[in-house]
Amino acid sequence: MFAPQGSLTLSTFDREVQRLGPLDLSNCGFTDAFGLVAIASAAETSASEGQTVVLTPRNDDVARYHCRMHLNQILEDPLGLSLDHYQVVHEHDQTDVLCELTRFDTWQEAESVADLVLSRISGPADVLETVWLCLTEACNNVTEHSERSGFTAAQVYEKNTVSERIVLAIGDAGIGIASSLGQSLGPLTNRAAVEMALEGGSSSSDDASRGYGIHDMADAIKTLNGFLLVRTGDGVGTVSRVGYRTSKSAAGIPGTLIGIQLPCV
Amino acid sequence: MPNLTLPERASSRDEARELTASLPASFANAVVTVDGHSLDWSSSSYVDELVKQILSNRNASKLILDQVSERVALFAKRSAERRGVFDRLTVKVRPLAS
Repeated sequence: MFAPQGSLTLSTFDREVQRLGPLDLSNCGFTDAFGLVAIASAAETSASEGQTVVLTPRNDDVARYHCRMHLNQILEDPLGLSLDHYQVVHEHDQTDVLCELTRFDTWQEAESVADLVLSRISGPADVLETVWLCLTEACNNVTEHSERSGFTAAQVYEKNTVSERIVLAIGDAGIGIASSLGQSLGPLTNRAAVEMALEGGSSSSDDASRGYGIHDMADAIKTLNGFLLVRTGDGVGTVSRVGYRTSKSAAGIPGTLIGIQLPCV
Repeated sequence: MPNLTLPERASSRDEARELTASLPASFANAVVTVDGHSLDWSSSSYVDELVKQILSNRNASKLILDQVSERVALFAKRSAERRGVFDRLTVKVRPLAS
């Protein structure tokens, strides 16, 4: 697990996840939608392994944000985590920029999440089409392959500016891409599994023509000059307009995290 | 000639299997027309499952995807190529909304 000392976001995750230790958000300085999903997945694993977790940031603004994004509601009941000391925040209507952290277990719930996000954001048709594609493909991968619940959250940043963008995050604390593909392909490293997912054509099923979901997502994201991060175990894959690359991180995570950033203008 | 109508939004392979469940198990020599005018957004997996169910599993002589978006057309063509059934797929893209 990890104990972030600064921002826990799509762009800082790889650095912060290397601050190993029990999940401890005391010094977490800023979180985005991706960071929230990473926290939820890590907390679920920690709780299932009986590890102590500290989920309350010292920074009041960050604590309020976590509360506003329903991190406490999502984790409190099913995991028995006590978050009594979280502040209760008045929820100002920010539904045009926020889509709170949500747990899902079925494709119908995943589709409802995608519907909700699309009802709250605006943008060019190709961006909305890509948001739907990414959310449904990634969430369906969770329900079909991870063997655990999934989490998702979304947020629009710098709305009504030339830098307006949406961050989507989907994650789970499940078996990971390598174990899933390994069911049909044999043992794989996490990095090799990420590479196969991005290239497409590898699947845990016996249908040789499946396994293009993440590849097709990546293709659509690249076309829009967006950014994709795929993390599974210690495997890392990124896609941007310059192409894709994979690497092995010094730190592993449970399950799989997918983060997407798309320009909304 | 069997006809199907796609929903406004489609996401999962299960959804595509449900849509095609009422079709006969095999219809060699049949042309299947799928009306896609309502379909705004779809995952690539949904379109792939549709192609698989109709052309690969049920062996239709032709699948006509009518009035679909550019992106659904792209997904369908890719799927048909990967599955070796491209010669039995016809895609008609709907005009862009003005």
